[in-house]
Amino acid sequence: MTASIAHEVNQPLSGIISNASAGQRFIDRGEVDPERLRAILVDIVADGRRATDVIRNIRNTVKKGGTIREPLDLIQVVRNVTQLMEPDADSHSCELQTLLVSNLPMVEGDPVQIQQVLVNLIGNAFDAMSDIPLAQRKVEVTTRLNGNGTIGISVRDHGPGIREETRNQLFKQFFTTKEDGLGMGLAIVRSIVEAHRGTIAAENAEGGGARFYFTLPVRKEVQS
Amino acid sequence: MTLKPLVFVIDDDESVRKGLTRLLRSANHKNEVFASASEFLARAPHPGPACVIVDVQMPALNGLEFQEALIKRRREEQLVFITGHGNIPMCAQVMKAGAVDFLLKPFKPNELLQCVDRALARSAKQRDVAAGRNDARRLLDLLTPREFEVMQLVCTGLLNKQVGAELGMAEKTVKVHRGRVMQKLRINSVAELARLVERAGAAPLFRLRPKV
Repeated sequence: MTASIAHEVNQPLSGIISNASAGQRFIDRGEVDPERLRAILVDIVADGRRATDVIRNIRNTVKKGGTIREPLDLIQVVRNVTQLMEPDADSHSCELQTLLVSNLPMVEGDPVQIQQVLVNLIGNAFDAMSDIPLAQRKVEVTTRLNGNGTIGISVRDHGPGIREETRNQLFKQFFTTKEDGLGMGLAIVRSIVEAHRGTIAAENAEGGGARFYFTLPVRKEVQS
Repeated sequence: MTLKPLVFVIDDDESVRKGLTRLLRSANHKNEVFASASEFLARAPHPGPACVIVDVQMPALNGLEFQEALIKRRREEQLVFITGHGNIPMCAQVMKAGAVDFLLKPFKPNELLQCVDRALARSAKQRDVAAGRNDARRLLDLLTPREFEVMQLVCTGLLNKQVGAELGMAEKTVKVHRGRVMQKLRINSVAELARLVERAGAAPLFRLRPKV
């Protein structure tokens, strides 16, 4: 998802930067043709709008939490995602382990969005371990039923963990610790979880590595 | 014959095409833009130095497949890749296959223009080499099979006497053939001969066979 956001935003940005740079060059060369410069500026404005729209659309979709609300078996969702990400795990030379409780009650939500949350968290976990010796690269996904009527899912890596000074910013938009990151992933993850009336937090795990933990309320049985 | 260099842009995104075509024009590069790789391939190859700026992610034929298609067709346009989200394996693949560079969008305009300059210089050089090769081959094609054999042995540094022994020929006959070879190839020394053969791209030499 963040990859496609990057693509969507980078297209208009490329347009803006190329156009603006071309404009500067024309002026520097003394070719100040108002018609041409105007056309360039019109396109820059249009591309700026387009980039804004991309961001706005993402926020809107996520805020509404989608319109889909269906009963979900989280165990099944986790299984689907881990299966989907097995090739990714391989390419990161990373072990992907699940510890799932059986007979979890259903939750309610948009299956694609919940999948997206897991894909993001697991993908981040892989990325966090790129400088760790191969033998120690492991991601554990666990589920559990909490006493307060929620189900908890945690994604734990064995990377360098979360630095104290970045902890408060992790879920903020445009904050990233990755060289080529957009800072959108965790912001979207949090929006999705909250739109599903859940909570999300991050901490350093005992024995090293980071743990991202989110909860979703158990689905109330529909009276019929 | 000096043909004008030409820059091509292939990107499915109109904003990127418009921006690039203006940027190139502002740097005095003549250019043509295409919304898809197949549209570009449908155009007759440009006979002068050519650089193609191509997006990696495109529907239908993507940038990587486009590069393969060009290689398969023995086309020699120099490629500069641009991508909205690239990764190292992708970059490694296109660079190994001979791309000039691999830039992430949004690219720095100066960096892109430098890539274009490098690509065009490489393309021009490649065309010179190809032209020299064709000229040299045309000359070598003028030789008779016998002259060709003599030429090959002379090229390896053998004396007339040794060439004669090798081919079962009188030294005098070798001399005559050798004279004709030099005349047809319009050269005066063995050193020049070696250079011409090298230009023809005929190493290893013994594999070169004249048309009979």
